[in-house]
Amino acid sequence: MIYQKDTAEPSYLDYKGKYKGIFSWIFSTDHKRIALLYMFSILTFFAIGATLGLLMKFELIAPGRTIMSAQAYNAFFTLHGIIMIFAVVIPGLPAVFGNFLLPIMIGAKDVAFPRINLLSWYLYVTGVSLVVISQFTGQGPPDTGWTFYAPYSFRTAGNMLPAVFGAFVLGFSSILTGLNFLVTIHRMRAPGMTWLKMPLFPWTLYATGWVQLLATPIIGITLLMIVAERTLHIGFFDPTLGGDPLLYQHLFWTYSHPAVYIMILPAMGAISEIITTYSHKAIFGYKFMIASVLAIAFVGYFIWGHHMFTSGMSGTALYTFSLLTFIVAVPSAIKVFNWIATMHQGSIDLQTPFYWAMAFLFVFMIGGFSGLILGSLAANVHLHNTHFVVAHFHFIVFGGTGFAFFGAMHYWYPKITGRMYDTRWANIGLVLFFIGFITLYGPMFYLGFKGMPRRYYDYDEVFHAGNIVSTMGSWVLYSGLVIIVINLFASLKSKIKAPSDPWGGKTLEWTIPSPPPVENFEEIPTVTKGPYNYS
Amino acid sequence: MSKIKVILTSIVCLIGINSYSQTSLFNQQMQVGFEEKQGQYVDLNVKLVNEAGDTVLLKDVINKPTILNLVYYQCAGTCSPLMWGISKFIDGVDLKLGKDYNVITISFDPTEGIKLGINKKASYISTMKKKEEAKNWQFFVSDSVDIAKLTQSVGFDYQKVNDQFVHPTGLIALAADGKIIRYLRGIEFLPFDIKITMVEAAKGKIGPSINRLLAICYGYDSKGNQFVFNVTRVSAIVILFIVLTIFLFLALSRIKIHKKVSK
Repeated sequence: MIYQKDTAEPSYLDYKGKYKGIFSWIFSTDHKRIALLYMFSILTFFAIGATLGLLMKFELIAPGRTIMSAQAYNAFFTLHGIIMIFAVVIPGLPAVFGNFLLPIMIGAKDVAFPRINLLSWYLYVTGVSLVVISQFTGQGPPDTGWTFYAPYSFRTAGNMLPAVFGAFVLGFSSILTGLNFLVTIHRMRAPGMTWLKMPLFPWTLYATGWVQLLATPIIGITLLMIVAERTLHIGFFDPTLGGDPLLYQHLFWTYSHPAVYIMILPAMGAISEIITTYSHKAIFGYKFMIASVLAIAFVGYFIWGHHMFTSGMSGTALYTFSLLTFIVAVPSAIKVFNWIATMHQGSIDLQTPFYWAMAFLFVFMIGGFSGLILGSLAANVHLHNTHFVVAHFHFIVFGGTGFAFFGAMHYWYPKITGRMYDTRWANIGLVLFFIGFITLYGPMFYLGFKGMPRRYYDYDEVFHAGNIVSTMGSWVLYSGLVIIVINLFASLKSKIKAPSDPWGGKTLEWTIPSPPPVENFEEIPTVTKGPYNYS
Repeated sequence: MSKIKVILTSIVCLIGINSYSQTSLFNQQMQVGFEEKQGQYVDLNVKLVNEAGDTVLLKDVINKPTILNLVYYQCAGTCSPLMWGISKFIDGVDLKLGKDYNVITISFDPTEGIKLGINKKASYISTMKKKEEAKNWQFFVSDSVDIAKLTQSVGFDYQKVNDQFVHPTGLIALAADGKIIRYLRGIEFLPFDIKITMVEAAKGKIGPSINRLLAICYGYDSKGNQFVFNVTRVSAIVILFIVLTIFLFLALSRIKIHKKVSK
């Protein structure tokens, strides 16, 4: 591997540009600064969403009213869902780590459209602000859940329009980011970096970019149709206006299921990077990993109907969607097998990011297997709209994307900040986070299986014990989260400077100084070998 | 008028007015309505008597996309408003009657002579703007056997009650080969709906090519009895087109961007 020389060029953190202070960040078109803007925004919204979740779990510690009314609970889970889905997990890995690392990993100086990149962040902040404003204006906060299901979303007195419009603006941000990444990957790869010499994280961003570009406009148009229905009374989804509520569900899930892959594909990419680096071994089945990424993105478009098994569809549609749901598990399983095979006979270095990757594998597999149970038609009839779905969803989305996010954070932290973090506290945080996660969401499988419906602030006494355990899990998880975040922030002041390649990684980002200089590379590198060359 | 007759006459009127909003109307004693047979074929060997008094076969009349209108000329109910509706859309639609499409009105009352049809035609044409073109609107009568064949083949279920008929109200769109394309219910029709239906019946071969695009962009809402903008289909096409264009542009062109940007 050829390391870039330490140059006189300042790092992107020290660079003095035209603007100073906060303006040097919010007016910067440097992909690395924009990535950090996203990171701080997303962590802020994540803290809000997590606090809402914590309060919801506290409400559920006992039957009946504990700390909030039914209406407040409805508003809480709606805002929790909207923030976590649209403002945290969808942009999470692509916007933060994709922005920071994609150009570096492919040997480019920036993304193809730096100004559009900044615009994406502006749109992101505007969209989330609109959602938050909807909580405090109009006739009360929205209470429909993050899915905005028709016809209730047209009839509720809740302040729907700003929330829906906010989600629409967030969609635009997502599309522009996806487009930017696609053009960057097609046009700006370093000389010699052919498609099959590109690391897996950029590959997952590539597949994600197409999903963002193809699927996100659908939700944009759908949300506009809601706006048109509520304001102009054009009948799209409301039966009283001649609309069809099922059409809404189809359109919503045509986007929202692929959106799960916008969340999970980059997470898989980050996990691939982490496992290969700490195994000190080339990824097993590189081409199959790429094929499975593309297969997941492609098949992911055709399985939205499994969210609607009880909504009313033809038998043929039910069987088809169920079969396709099982088929999409195949490429996911290939990835899991390949990660395990990569570790086999590897020289494993047990570092914090590796632990995160192992935790990811554990929770992702539980999430995946429970997804197959939900994909079975007969089981779905019983489990639909119960806590089983909530548990599955959180194991996949929070377990998958969240664990990968924190794993990536610890993996690339030295590169991003130029400092090493305190490993001991990082590990303590991880252990608490993991125990809390399993304790919080594990009982939900049982509760759902026993018939506890989701989205109710009250429940029968028979569900009490499971809910107590689950609520206590939320406290442990939150404690772990606080430790992790404090440790990462405190480590910014660490005296231990990060070397260029603290983990023995082989991809291009480890060839440049930590933190990276403004232009990333003094000279655009020429790539001659594959991305994981440990031979 | 006997009590029963009053009730039956009321039923006739009610059915005439309301039948367009229902797939079929079932009475305990009678089955009246459109039994939709979309995709099937009308019996083209039905014999008809035209305005000249000649006997012709239906297949000689249907040589292009055709609106089939089944009425009886002495109807006291909805037949006249229905034919009035036809005259309105002939005036409004930007297709040429007799060239792009046909409209044929056939009496399903075997006791009626063609003279009644000729008089009806004359009275409607006198109120129309496109008087010359409207002459291509053809009126027919037929005998009971052929009427039965015709009405059964298109699913037009009606009943005779005393000297009146209880019958559905609407039009049947046929392709040039006699295939049943669509049932248009009601007594009034938007020229746009007729145009799209005829374009669909002709598989886009009539009128300017923009019509083909219209047929893709609009879908028939059988509950609302009209064509509506198919927002989901159009959006999907636009999204796919844009994404495909971006993909082809990125995949086929070889320009590399390695510009230095200002920070």
